Amino acid sequence: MPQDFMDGCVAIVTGGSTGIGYGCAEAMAAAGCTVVLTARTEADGKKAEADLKAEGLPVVYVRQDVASEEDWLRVLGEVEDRFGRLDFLINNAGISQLFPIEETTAESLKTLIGVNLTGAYYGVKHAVPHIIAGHDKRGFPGMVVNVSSVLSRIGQAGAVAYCASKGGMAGMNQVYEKLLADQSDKVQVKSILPGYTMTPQVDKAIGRDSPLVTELAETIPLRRWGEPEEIADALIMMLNPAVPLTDMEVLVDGGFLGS
Amino acid sequence: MAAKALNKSLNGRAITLVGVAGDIVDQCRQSLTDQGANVTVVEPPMADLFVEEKVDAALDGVSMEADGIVFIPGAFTDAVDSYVEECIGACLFALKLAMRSRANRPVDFLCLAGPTGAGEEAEIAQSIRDGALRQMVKVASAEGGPMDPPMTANVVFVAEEAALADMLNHLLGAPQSYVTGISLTLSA
Repeated sequence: MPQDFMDGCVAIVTGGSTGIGYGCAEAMAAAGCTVVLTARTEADGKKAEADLKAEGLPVVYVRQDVASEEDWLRVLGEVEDRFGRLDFLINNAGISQLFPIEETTAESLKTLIGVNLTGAYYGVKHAVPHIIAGHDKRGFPGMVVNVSSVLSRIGQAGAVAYCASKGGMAGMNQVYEKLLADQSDKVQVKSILPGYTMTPQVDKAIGRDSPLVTELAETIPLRRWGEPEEIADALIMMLNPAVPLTDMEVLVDGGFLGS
Repeated sequence: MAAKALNKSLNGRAITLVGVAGDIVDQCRQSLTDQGANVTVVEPPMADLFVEEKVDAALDGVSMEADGIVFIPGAFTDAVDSYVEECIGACLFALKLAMRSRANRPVDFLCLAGPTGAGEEAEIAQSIRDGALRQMVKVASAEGGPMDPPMTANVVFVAEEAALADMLNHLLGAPQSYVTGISLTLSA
């Protein structure tokens, strides 16, 4: 079934150069949306842009440090100047750390929270007015989708900063649901909660065939890790106005949390 | 980086609808058929849901060649207790059908639960029913996911007059997606 509702739409996908962000950018662009893919590392961003353009997809790379509020304002200004509208923001940029509490330094905490949580907050805060303004062209609700994690609901030993960032994101969604309740026909703020996902970063760090990956797969009812395109596929469902879900969060975890 | 966009289609998929005739069953059947699925409708043995021999006999009479099982609870009548018990019993029947079908090929199970109507009794019935169904699909996902072939299971609570087509395409059009064990709510 074609996702032609995206024709003419414009989206920002942060952290779009690899992994889940890349998968989301690819799926949205394949559905006809012009995607502004942002990433901090220019070489990675330009490579992703080139790869997706080689597929014939409408993608543009813009450098962005999501932890910088000034950078958000610059990127949104560029999008407005170039395309004249914004319909979707996929707040995907994120980093992870695996340190016990006592080894989590103040600096590393600040860095992670700055990217994963404060950066997402800047995105919601500044993108929402643009998405609301785009309603007349779009005719259906635009959306901010925060790419969260199952670790917004459960605590994992060794991931205090990451869990805090995703828990904070859940709280942010709750408050924006209330703040934007009377404009939900124009914009909605939601989250997608991936479970264990085999991104290139994970593959590089621990290896697709490593014992740890196999061990963790045994904790998932489907007995396998998800792939970025599966997360992207659920994202497309969330954005589709013909599937008007009222859920603020959508789990894509192979049944992990429910089991 | 390889392009691996999911190819979603219901065309040619064998879907068994389990439910007593009603608006959602009709709409679901029409929508699936329009998208090319081969649809079979099975009525659960409502009078015998808690008699194992009868349930077994009813299951024996159903084809186990389904790619997807869609269970649709019946409409609320007037009594909370019997309605809730019937919904849970019928859901178990549908899950057993899904598990047996899964022995032949991977199966995606989807429960579509509509509104029970206005009034305190109806609201109580819906709330209890929905809580039970949420847990039943979680368990089905937990039990069916590790099996070979595997099974996914989800529930969608659908509002009156909600359009089902795109949702069905998303949830049943890509076999064995990573979305399993969850509940969603679809508005009109």
